Amino acid sequence: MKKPGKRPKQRLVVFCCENSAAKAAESAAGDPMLKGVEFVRVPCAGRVEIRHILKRIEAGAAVLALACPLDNCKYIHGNRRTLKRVDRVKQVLKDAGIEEGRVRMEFLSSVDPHKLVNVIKEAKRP
Amino acid sequence: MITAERKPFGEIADMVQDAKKLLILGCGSCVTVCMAGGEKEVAMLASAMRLANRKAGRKADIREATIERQCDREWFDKVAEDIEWADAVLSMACGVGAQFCGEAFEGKRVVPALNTKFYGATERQGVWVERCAGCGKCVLADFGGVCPIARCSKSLLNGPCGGSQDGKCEVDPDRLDCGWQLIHDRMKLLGLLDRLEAVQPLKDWSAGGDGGPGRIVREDATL
Repeated sequence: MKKPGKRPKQRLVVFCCENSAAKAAESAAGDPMLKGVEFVRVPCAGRVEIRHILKRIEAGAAVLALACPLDNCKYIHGNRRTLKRVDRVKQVLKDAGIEEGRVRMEFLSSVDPHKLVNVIKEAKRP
Repeated sequence: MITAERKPFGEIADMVQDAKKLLILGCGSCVTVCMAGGEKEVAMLASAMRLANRKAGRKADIREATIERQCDREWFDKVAEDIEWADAVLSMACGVGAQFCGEAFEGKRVVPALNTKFYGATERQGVWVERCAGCGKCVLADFGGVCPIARCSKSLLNGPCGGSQDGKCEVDPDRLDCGWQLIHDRMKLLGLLDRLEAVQPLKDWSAGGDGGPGRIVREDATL
């Protein structure tokens, strides 16, 4: 019989804007907190669509979207668009009876590898 | 375009809860533009349905597809197999498309995922506004290109009512401009203000919604 044990760790998918979070992730490479995390590099956080996030959640992952700080998007509104989309995803999850915490969003710049590690640590918490 | 909004998730889920094989069918025309029932919205609803089913322990197979238009029979050909397979089709088209899908596949249960709203235009990104009431006899030429039927809350043809204040409509002053203020301003701009003094006769409503379901026949186009 299968022993009751710890719940399997939920996979974390991190969508990273290549102008900020992706660079921060490169700087933080090797940090044990990043182990097992799937990074998806995107040209702008605004490229991340609702369906991209939901597909990952459907596959059992938690999703973290990392964008440039507000008012500092290379493409002007990309980060704000994603913020609204993440809110919409939260509503979809609520409708479906799934915990809204499965998706999060944070803003950081390319010189914030410590912040990146911290937000990933936070997102990995069950 | 025909504009629409998605129904609340709970209402949709109730309508199709007994379907073991569900096809969510989007429409690539008007409702894609107003972001209610295109490919992206189909994917979003399908994910939500799958997550909700999993959470509730319900087993259902869900397929997704989007065709160019649900108001033209030939576009259904490429999803005919999926429609035949499904216990129910959740149409993300307007009311026209959802009905036509049911007509094209007799005996198939087709349920609407959208509430169809009005004939509208994109005022700005994410905002759609009504511009036409489909009355069947266009009067735009007499009113400087601003429709008194669609844009006056009371569809008045001979000037504003007493509820016009500071260019706003009494029905909802925060949200609605007075249609007649818009007509007046446009006619003034065009130098045609004097034409508004002409008394408009009673409108012939038989050209539009009156007389049962509408029908247009173009003999030269029929086979």
